[in-house]
Amino acid sequence: MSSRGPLLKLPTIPLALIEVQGLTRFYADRPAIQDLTFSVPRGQVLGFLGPNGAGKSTTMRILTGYLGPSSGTASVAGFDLVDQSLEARRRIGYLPETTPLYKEMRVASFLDMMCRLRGVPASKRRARVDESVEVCGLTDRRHEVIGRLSRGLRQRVGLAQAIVHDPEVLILDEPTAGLDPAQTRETRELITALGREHTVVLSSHILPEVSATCERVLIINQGRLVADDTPANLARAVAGAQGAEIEMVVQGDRGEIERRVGALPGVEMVTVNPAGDGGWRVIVKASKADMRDELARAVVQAGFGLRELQARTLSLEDVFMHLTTEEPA
Amino acid sequence: MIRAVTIARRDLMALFVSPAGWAVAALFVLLTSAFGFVVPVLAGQAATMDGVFAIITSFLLPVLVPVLTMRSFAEERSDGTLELLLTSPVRDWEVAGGKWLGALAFYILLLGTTLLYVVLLAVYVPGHLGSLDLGLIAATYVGLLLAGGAATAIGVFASGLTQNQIVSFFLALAILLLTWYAGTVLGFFTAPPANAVFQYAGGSNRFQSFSLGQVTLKDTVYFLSLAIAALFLTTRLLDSRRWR
Repeated sequence: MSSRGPLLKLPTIPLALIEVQGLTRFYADRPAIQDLTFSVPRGQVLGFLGPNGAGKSTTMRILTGYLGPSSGTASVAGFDLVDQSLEARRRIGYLPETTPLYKEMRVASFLDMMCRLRGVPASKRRARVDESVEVCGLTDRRHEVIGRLSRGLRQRVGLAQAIVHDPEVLILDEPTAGLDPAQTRETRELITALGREHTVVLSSHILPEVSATCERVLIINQGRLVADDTPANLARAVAGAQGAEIEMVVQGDRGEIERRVGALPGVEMVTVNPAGDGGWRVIVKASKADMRDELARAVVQAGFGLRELQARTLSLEDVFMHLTTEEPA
Repeated sequence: MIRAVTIARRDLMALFVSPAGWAVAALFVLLTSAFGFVVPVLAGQAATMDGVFAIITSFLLPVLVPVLTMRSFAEERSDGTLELLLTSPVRDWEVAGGKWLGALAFYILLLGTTLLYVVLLAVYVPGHLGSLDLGLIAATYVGLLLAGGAATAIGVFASGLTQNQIVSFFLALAILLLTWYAGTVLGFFTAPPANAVFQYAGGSNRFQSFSLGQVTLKDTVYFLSLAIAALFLTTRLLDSRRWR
């Protein structure tokens, strides 16, 4: 015993629950994702946004240990997904994109089976099944055959199996794909509720979904990370780059409105369209940051009726189009 | 291990609620009773289990076992449920082993139904137990268990190669027929020393000792190694999928 180690070995507490370093995955010669690096702190609800085929599912499949990376590393709670895959997988609840379920099984026995597979001790299985069934609103469906449930209910069963072993991380691949609007809203509410107790990574190509449920957005396009911020910050950043837009509904003569508004200093472009009711929808593109007060004054002073006026905040959709259609600076 | 049993249980239950499972069971019971038992008895032949056993080795093993195993992995892959299994903290060999045990359990249940004929023979054959060679019957059952273990493992492996159940069935059928008969046929048409090798490798030849009432080590090892090899390849297959 010649070498002396440290007197006290402290466990290394990872700062982030999910850590991804230089992750790259090839399918044959085609790269699905390239050099992704990000980390997710405990408790965050992260949205993974990108068009179909951007590499969202591939990333999630690596994070759940279903696929191996071509290069780079990914870890959950400090456990590497390749070298300590079992330990990492214990901490993950996963809802794959297609919501695969054993259709011939009944809800409760399916969840019980998932508990067994994920090492929930026998004494706790009953309670875990009860809780996940309740959280997902399936209490009165627990003895039904999964194959006979509607699409929306199956989605809930999919979520229930993801949380049944009480994992630290939830990975949800397109959790609202294929649902009708009511089911989509339900599922989003459920995810928001789950986000209070779990770290959640969800993917979507539906933008309002991500801005509604996530604190942070990663935008991925053609396998590369193009943005990483809060939904609000992303909108602001792009708005700054594009110049502010203001939308008004004005009552009056069309040509006159166009002339008067266009003459204001700072106004770059005016578009006028009929708004019904004899009014006009006027969209003003300005080079200055916020021209709302000046515009209101000008319209009223000219004797027009001002019905509506609002600054157009860019939706995540605009941000997304901006980031994925132009080369990132 | 408990996880393998969990998977096996689910697969066994799935066979019980599937048309394929019932079709296999019905066909098996029909064939063993009609052609393996009733016809020989009506024809006044010697009361033995030979007919029943012949049906099993010539039909259940190569043709019906692939029906039992064709869904095993193929269906999990086409339905996507394999993703649930493989992202759970379950080792690849536990998944492969569970799939195998599930199919094997159904096979053993089918085999169990034939014990009825042993009982019937024991009760109704003149001279009762004395005229029945129970040792031979027991040895044959051991052989059927071993051969069934190998056949289901091969079927599960074939199912792991594809996500199409029909392809899975024909692959398993082809591999089983080759394993069972090719050795004998090739051994018949080749000259020594090659024929000895072929004859040794043929499943039906290896089974003969069991049907003669002997449980030999080398034949036991033969079927066990077939099963282990197939399961090992299945495990490798599951892992290789991660990197493709």
